[in-house]
Amino acid sequence: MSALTPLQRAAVVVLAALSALALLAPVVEALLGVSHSAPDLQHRFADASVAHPLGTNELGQDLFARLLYGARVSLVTGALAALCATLIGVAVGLTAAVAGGVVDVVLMRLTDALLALPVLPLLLVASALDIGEATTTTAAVMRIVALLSVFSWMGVARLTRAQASLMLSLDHVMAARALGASVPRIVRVHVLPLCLPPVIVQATLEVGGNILAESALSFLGLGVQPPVPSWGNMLMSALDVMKSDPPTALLPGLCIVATVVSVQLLGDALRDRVANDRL
Amino acid sequence: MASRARSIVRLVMARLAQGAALLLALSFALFALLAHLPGDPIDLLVASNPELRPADVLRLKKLRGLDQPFHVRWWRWLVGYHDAVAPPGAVVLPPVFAEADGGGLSGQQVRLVAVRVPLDGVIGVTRALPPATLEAGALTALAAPGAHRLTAVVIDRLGQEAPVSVIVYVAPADVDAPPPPQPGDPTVIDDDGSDPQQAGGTEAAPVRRTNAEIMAAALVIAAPQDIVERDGEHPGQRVVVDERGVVSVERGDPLTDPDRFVCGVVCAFGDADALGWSFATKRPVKELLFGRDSVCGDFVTEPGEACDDGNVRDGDGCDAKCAQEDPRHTPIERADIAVAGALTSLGRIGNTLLLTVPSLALAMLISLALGAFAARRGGGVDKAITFGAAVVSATPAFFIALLLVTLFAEQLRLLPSSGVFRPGVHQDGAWEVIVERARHAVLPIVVLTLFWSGRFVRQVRSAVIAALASDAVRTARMIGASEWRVMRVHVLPNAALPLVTLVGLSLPSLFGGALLTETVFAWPGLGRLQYDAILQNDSYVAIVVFLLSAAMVLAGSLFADVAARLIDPRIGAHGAHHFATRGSSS
Repeated sequence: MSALTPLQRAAVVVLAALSALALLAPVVEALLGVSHSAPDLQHRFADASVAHPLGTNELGQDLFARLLYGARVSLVTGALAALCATLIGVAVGLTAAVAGGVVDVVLMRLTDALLALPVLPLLLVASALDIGEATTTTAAVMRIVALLSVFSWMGVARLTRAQASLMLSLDHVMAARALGASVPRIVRVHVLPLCLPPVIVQATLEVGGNILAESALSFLGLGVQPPVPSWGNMLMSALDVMKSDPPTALLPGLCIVATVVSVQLLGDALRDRVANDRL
Repeated sequence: MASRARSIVRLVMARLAQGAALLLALSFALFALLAHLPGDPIDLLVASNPELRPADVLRLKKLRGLDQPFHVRWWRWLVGYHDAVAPPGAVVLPPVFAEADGGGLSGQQVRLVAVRVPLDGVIGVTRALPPATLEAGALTALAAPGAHRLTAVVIDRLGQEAPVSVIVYVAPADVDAPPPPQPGDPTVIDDDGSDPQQAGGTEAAPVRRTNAEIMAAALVIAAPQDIVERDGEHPGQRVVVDERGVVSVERGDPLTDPDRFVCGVVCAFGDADALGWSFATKRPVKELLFGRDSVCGDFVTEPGEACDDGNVRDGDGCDAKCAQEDPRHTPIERADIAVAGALTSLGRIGNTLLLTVPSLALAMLISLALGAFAARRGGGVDKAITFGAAVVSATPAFFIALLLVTLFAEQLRLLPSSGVFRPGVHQDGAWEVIVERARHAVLPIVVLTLFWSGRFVRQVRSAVIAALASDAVRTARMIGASEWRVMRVHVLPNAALPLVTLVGLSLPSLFGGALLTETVFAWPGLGRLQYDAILQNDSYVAIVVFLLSAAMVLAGSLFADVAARLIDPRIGAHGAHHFATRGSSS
């Protein structure tokens, strides 16, 4: 057990606070008596006040409430996409390692091919092919999650395959095989549990990348669409007012940075822990 | 040494083959995806234009090849589709213009020799844009012999409206033969011989010709079905298609009968070009990517348009060549202008490389320096640099770009905020263009350098820490090597290797930063082109640019692998084997 550094502790606090606020976003909204979605053109660009803790944006929507709803989108997208990608990656990697032969070659070639493609252009093309008009938050988030996880499972797959092949070659696994243990049992008992720690670290590190990718897509107008707030599309719509009303543009950007740095620090802490456990 | 060279060649060949196969498979997959989406461009058109009849829709789809299964379309896209170049016929559509009286050709001996529409498959005209221009243009065209440009809005064969320039060649009144083709206009229509001679014989009567006639003469549809459908409206017309796919329609005598004229339309079919056709810009994708005129900036003009000094613009529509050919310039001035013209038109790929290559080099240098510094100093400096790198790599490229634009372009007004150069700068000479380009490139390059160094510093730092702890470094220090020599000989080369490998591996994700940066800075590179294509539903462009960026990424990672082998000969199949045996024997 290595203790967390002060920075890592701060990261945990930031993430916990953001998650709690995001979870309670409707409650906060109700308490303040503001709306994240209803335009209020009489109170555009309002300064910070009791009614609007961070002021309002170019449509008179409450900035604080929008940031909280944006946090929901970012955190859920980042975590869920990482989870889905990890599931796909573990499945592909385990299949390749256990099956071997042609299956292994085909799966790994596919993985390498996808890994070699430019990620953001790929996402852009894919999101253009996507025709569903996602108007609700859930639909918008699910769409991004699907896009991101389809194109980000490759790292986990390679890691899992390498790890699983290593496990399968160990003496006690050979012995288990010789004793007649079934393949599912070997995978369940001897391979999967030992593959998971590095995979979990990798998944955590991918959460940050997913949040960045979601914000980039939304910034380009191909991700979460404006009635639904996301940090990326808030930045996009604040482009024109960057000079006249800096907080509208700065705050979503700073939120992205703080979240991604925190996730990264957390991932590092987790990796150190896993590395120490192995030593 | 020879085996090393051979192993590198083998690596390059294998990777090139793999890359080509990957791109081919990918293009096929993209076509399959596109084919299964509802709503091709023609369907969208039908939804927006109730005037189109089902027969028109079918015809348009056939013309566009959209009636074919996707693998056929993919194949045509890949190799070009030459069957469409010479359609069996063409027809003049009924004029859509209101008769503009008074703008005619009263009492002048002018002959309209040929009309060219530099656009493929025009099927109709909706209006002249703006009407005043048409009027003025037509009057100009009729006033003086030579090449003149009119502007009209036509329906192309995708059924989309597009402004086109119609180039009208007017022969001098006293000359029977058509004017010689203008430079840069390879597709001037030759009369097939009979009509102009005929006309020459009967040129006595003054002719009154209206705008509508001239414009209608230009608007030819290149679909055989229309002849069948509309033949009755225009009896007596003759359609000639030459081997270049130039369609001319002849209707009697051009001078004596106000209802008759000779005209020709170039039908350069989009399908004839491999890589497809851009719906949004009405140009072949190939030309959009590799043609120079895509970057003429704001001063792009139609090819063939006359410059102020009487020259015709070059085929790229840039008027740099115009100035270059101006006899008033000295040879040095002409050379200067030629260089300036070349510098202003680097193409999409050139623009992207102009951003990415310097920033990648800078990012590698900076991260090597910062990473080594952090690793050597340790303590607070190390922590600060590591944390700073983490923050920078957690900042979206577009946010860095926004911050820098706000600070340096809007607040301090030091640097331009977008674009590649101000319009018309090429006229000021090559040096001005270089300065202008550099000023515009500073902010995007800084953004990309920051964005990438943030990702590299950590790796360099851990590589340097590992190298500092190595036996080689301890030995070198023991025998009294200076710290600088230790760094230079034992540490930095060992840190550079993982950096090169890392750059190669992370190129796919690095490209995204370039795309975002180009988008924010309105930098006309590949990323911006792809973004625009996706927003405009320009699927061929989107596919081609994606494949091109994938090819660039593959080439970049191959380059990184070769570089890694050159830095460290142990890498590679042979090398790994030697390394293993050497490791066990020592």
